[in-house]
Amino acid sequence: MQHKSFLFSSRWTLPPFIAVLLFTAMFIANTFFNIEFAFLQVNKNSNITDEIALSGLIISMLFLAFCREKIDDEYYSKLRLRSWQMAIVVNYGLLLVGIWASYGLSFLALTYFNLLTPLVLYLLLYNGRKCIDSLRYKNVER
Amino acid sequence: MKNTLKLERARHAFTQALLAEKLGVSRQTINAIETGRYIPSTELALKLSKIFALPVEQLFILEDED
Repeated sequence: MQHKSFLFSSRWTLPPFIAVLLFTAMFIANTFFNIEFAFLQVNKNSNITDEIALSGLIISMLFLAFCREKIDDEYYSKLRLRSWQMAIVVNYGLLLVGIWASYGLSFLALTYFNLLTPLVLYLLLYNGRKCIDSLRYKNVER
Repeated sequence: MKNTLKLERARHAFTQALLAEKLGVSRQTINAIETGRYIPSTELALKLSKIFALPVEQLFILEDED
């Protein structure tokens, strides 16, 4: 019973995964070590490394988050829904803590990283639950 | 809600993988139903009852707290 949903094909899992790894490396290099690529210099004062890294990371994580499973059924729909709910709750919980615990530039940094946290949390929760399920399946009597 | 899926599966000598294939769902879904972590939709419950030739209420049993 294939569950009807507007998701990308399961064959599209590997390319976004590789893209996430590459753009994460680019994002970390740019954010923490101020590394900018010369070929992304658009004029004397402007380099678009950070824009490319952040856009690429968001797009590749969206593709990864909205990929169908090989056998995508109602159980995975429920798993997705629960993971989104938990990711949003945890994200805003962290944001609330951050609002009271950080000031000035550190608050700006927090809001910058908060652009990515819902997707990162969702991917961690959903794939974590899938891993736990696979382990449970391996451990039970068939 | 409890269910007799594991028992019926054993009676018919079906593995979780075989039952999952018959229903067109993943093995993890069957495992989640058997262990009570997931309550299936009406559609899936009716398909299960058809496979085991049993009424749905014999496969899925309401408990006092439900």
